[in-house]
Amino acid sequence: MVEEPTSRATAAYRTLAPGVLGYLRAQRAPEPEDVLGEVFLQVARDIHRFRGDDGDLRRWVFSIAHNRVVDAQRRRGRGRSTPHPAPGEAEDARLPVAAAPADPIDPALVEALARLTDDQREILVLRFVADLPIEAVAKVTGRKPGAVKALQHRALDNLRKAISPGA
Amino acid sequence: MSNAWGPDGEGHDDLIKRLTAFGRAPVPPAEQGRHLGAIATLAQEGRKPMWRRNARRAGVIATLGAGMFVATTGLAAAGALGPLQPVVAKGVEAATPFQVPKGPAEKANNQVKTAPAGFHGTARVTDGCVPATNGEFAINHGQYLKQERAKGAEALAAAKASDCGKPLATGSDDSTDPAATDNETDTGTNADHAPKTGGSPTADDHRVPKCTDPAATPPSEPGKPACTPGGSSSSGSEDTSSDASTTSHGRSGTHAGKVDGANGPPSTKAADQS
Repeated sequence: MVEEPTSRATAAYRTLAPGVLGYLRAQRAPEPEDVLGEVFLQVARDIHRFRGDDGDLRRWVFSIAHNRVVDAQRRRGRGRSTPHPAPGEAEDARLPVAAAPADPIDPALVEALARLTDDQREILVLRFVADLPIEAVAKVTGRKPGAVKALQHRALDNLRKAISPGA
Repeated sequence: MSNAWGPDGEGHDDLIKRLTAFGRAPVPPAEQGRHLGAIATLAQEGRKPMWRRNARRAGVIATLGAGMFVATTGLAAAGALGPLQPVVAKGVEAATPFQVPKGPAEKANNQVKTAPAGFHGTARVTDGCVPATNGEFAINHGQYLKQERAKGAEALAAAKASDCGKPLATGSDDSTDPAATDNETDTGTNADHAPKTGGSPTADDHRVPKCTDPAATPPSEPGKPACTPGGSSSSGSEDTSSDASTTSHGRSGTHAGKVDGANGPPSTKAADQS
């Protein structure tokens, strides 16, 4: 029996919304909850045309979120691969509301992610926060799987240094 | 989905666990309710029939299409599409029951020219001839043949044998001057022109006339021969070309050539001056 598009969109929201919200927060999207709503509205609008399994659905939803983030970054005039300023350089003012210390999420991790380049942070977030395999990350970002692996390796090293500078 | 980090994640297990946990933080219940409500509303909107959702767009497209159709059909019916008329007429006739003009080509092919009302041109043979569809007789023999060609080979042969459409004066002695009727057949509209045999002189007539005995024929102008032996204009040029070359160095030779260009062959004048 074919599942109704509304229930498919609702089920996708219940499954994927936490990951998408984490992705948006880690990517420092402005007002991530609102962007999350926009992402799933687009999912609900277009899901009747979607064909694929759960893995494809996950990649498709994160592709939409990725495009939203890229659009937001372009609107803010931020260039890609620009290193973020070190902590303390008026960086806290740009942190999303959800990254406030009172939140249950990891503020130190958010801060360390903010110090990576856009490319490195994007790979790490898609790979581990969104829980996508290497091939899916490669497709979402338009890179080759080998490039994604290399970027992930460097990103993890830099994240380690950012979290524990003395290590 | 389970993650197999592989060698790329070695040594960073704690970081990866923190990243994974970051992606599992639940959405705030208030936000979740708002988002699910928006999805449900969108789904209800989507249940409207397709034609209601796109009614305005469909209306605009339909209006444009109908306008284009009416405009094209109207222009085609009026025969105002110029060179596109045959193409559009074909399409319109295929799509509608209307008959539209197919343009000037159709007119030329289907209509036989007949004498208009009040025509006072050359009198033509009409006795025993078949009138055209409008009851009038063909304006000349060529048009009569054209009219009869559509009826078949026998009718065409009979038409060829008849004098229908020929001028009354030349219609009777057709056998003596077949070239005249052939020419008339080709250019039916020129039937009112004077016959070639008695017509105005052509370009060739400006040359020196032929004669067999130049001495016997008096010259029409002083210094100009009355005629050339053999009648070949090229031979005359050859005869005087050497003389003309001798006089063409001076200014007078050039002047003479210019004057000759208006009055006669320059080579002849040059020869006279030498």
